[in-house]
Amino acid sequence: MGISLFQKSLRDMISGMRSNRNNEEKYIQKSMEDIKKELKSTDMKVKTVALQKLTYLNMLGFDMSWAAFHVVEVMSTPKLLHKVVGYQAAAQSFNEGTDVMLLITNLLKKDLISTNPTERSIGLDCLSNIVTLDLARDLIADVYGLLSSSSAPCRKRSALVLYCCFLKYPDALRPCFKGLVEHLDDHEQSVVCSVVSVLCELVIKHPHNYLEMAPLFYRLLLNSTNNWMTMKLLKIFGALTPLEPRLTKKIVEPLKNIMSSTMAKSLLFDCITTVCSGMTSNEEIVEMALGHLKDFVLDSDPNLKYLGFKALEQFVKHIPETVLRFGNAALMCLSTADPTIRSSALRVISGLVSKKDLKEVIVRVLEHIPSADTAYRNELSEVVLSICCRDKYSLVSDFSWYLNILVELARVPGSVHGKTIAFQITDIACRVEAMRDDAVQAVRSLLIDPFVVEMGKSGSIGEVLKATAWITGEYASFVEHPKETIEALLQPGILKLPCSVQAMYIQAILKVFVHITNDLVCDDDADEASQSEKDGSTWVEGEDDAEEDNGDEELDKLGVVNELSDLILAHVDQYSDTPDPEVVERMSQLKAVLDLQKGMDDIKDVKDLFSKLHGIISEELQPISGKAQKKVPLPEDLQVIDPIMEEFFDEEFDLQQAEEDVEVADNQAASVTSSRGMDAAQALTEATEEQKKFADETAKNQLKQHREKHGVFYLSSDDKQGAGDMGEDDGGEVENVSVQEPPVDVSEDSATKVDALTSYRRKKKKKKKQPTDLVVKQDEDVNEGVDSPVKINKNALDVNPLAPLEDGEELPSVEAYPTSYSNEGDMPTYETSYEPVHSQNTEAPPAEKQKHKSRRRRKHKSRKEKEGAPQEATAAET
Amino acid sequence: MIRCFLVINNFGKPRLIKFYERLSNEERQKAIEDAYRLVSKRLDDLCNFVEDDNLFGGDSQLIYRHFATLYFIVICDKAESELGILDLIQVYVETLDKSFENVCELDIIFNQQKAGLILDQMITGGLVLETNSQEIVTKYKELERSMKQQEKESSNKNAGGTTGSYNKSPRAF
Repeated sequence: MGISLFQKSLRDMISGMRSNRNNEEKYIQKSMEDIKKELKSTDMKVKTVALQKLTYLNMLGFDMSWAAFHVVEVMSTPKLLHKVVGYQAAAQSFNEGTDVMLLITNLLKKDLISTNPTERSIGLDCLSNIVTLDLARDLIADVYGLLSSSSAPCRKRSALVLYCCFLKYPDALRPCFKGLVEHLDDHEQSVVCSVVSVLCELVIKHPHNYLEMAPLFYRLLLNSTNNWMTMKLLKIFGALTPLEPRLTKKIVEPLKNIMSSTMAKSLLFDCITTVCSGMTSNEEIVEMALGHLKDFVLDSDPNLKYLGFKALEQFVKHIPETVLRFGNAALMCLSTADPTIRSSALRVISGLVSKKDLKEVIVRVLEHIPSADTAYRNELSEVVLSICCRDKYSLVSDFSWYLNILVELARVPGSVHGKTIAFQITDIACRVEAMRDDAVQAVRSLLIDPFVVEMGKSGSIGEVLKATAWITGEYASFVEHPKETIEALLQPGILKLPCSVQAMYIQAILKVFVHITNDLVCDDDADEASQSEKDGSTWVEGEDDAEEDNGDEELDKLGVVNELSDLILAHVDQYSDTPDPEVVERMSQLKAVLDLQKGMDDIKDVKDLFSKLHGIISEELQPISGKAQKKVPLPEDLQVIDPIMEEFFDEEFDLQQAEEDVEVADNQAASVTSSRGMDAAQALTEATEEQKKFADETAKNQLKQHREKHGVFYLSSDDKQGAGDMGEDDGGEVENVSVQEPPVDVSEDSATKVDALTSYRRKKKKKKKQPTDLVVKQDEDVNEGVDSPVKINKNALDVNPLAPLEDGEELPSVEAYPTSYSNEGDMPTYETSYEPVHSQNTEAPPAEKQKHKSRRRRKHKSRKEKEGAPQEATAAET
Repeated sequence: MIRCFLVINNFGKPRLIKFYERLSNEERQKAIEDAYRLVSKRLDDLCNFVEDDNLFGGDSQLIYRHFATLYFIVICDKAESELGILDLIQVYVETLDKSFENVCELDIIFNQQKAGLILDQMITGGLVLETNSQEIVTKYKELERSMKQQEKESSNKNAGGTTGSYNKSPRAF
């Protein structure tokens, strides 16, 4: 036992690591070197211990992909003690890219057909951990066979492992489904439970395929005595009831019984989530659920509290008016120390708030800001901002109040929402004309506060200051204290702000100065005169004395202007060192204007110049209606029917591009610059009658087919509400039906097959939904392409497993198992060949050959690798 | 579906990891770090659920329990029952306690294989296999027994003859 005497065991290595805490790295490096040597040993025991150590190190983050072959070696020893180490190592380290996977197919097969229950169970377990498409394809028949084993633990485990195989090899779902469902009648409750677990996973992903099974689930729900299984069944109904409202009525009674009788909070909670996912139409059950939910929300146990709010979030989405009573409880929770609960409570609040109580709620939310940490402060700010700007500020009735809230939020230390705040302030000032005065007054406090400017150095408050400067300049006519404002715009702290903000400040100075000067010198009307006096009086002392003499007045006005320009000139040079060209340019522009003004002695010249300048600056930026594009008349010679390029509509990219263009055109109707954008926009908004008709017909046909197929689940009359509801699903459902035959790559096929015009039409109808759907699918494909060599479509499990099997869809080698398989004693011990599962002629060689299997496997390896590729190809084709 | 089961100590050292999705070494380590980062900053009187949009590629929730020096963490999809998983963690710890007698961190460090095999009796491929602690212990004992029995048989068989193992070792002297 030479090496094993001197070999460090796993325990030794761990102890060593613990005693070498100071130079652990070195110790591990040393251990790794030892392991590498030991793995090459021919003594299985040495190899196994080395692998065990390596697995431990892998857990700590050290790579072991290089040892994959050694893992397989250890896995293939007959000794269970060693084998288990190998299997654990494989479960931990193998992934889709592991190339030695091909070597383990037979190894696992041997385990799965073993008479030893332990071998079977660790084999199944290992398969569940490392299954790939190839393994699933080659072994699914064996797993399926074990489903009818006489041992309940084995049946239980194989049902779960079948699901793992379906995930990798979706084609197997339909053939195996019947056999799986049969075990819902298994006399062993635990087997039923695991089958229900599998079905639950399947149903949750694609509920529409399993509606037909509702009666079966209903029966199970009535008879279930196992809480875990009841919970799974409730999840299943939670997924089914939104698709079939009539189910609600059916399961109300059992749900009520469970809710009133169960002591298990977990079960009770699942009842509540089932109610809120699809049964909100039934008031009685909703009331009962809310009664229990109240206990959750008010419970002192943070877990129950959190779950209570989590369920509330769902209720708020569906029936906000019914859960209004929880608003106060949610507000109370904002002071709890648990961030998870707080976030959930905030989401509930955000869903419940209404126009009436907006002010109160916002104030109560803001109350928590002073005592909160930075992350929470930002979370609170975000909630306030998102609540108020929702649906174009539909909840806000008092904008003056909201502007002050925004200013307050801008002062929150460490805020990351400066950009949003800046946008909203600007947005409101632009859109609501009546609010401009309030906006200018509101931002004044930010402008003159040196502390805020200091804060603007870092973080996002710079953005707010930029908006502040812009508003002050743009709406300079509302500035009440010009001198103070100009001083604020010139304060030295601004040099520390980002350059774009500095540029905005200089521009604002120019605008304010021009406006004031214009007001001062051009006020021939009495009204304006008094206005300007009022303005002037705040910053020029002793002007009252000069008022009486007209000539003096003019001189004084010039004096005031000069004073102001002196002030600016004295400070504006601070910007000259800035590296940013825009800042420097604006500075020199400002100086040029001031120099011009300085050189003029005659007030008439000044008047002349500044009325012109004012004319340039005072042109207002107008908000443009989203529908403005429609008002632009269509040029008569515009050709929109013929495609610009033949393949124009085939290209996903072009469609999206075109849509973006539409939006751009909608938003900025004035600046449609690209003629192509214009064409595309028109093409998208103006479909011809023929196209519409064709698209409608296609959609109708598909819908008809779908309804015929699933007719049972529709209420007899197509009532409007139902039709509306189903409209949502149609996209997906119709696609489903139309491409049922090729079960793989459903989404891709349908996306490309659907006639260009149809898809274009659909896009137009569901402008927002459809394109994103497609994009997501593409992303998935791309990801999988990168991650794994085998491309699996996640939607491939979206098949109707209840439909009868088609030709060539049987699970071929299942028949290779004798039906008396469950009689453990005389199990066939056939040597499994490398035929793929599709082939029928798996021959059963004599039992003695088993011994030579491992040797044969190596020989076969190269053969298999050669054969592997074409087989895979054919499989993919079929 | 359960995506992974992790046991991490108070200092972020993994003590048992079990992933039910195939990830690369780096992705696994990142998941472990992320999970530790999320749970370690939470005080013990907070709730046992953590939401994080970036966790495990999204659509996941983290459910954990903190016992003495160890965090028992489950990351699962959002369809899994929260309290059910919390119970499951409890069951696992109880089972460990039964199998090790007053289980502590050291037991798991030095008996990783055992801890892992016990977990395998409870969760298979991300789905729950068994929730009864006693049943799990029984199943594990069966496994252990059959491993030992086979070992005994084979050592008996080999008792007379040579072991046939290669004894020379480069590290022997």
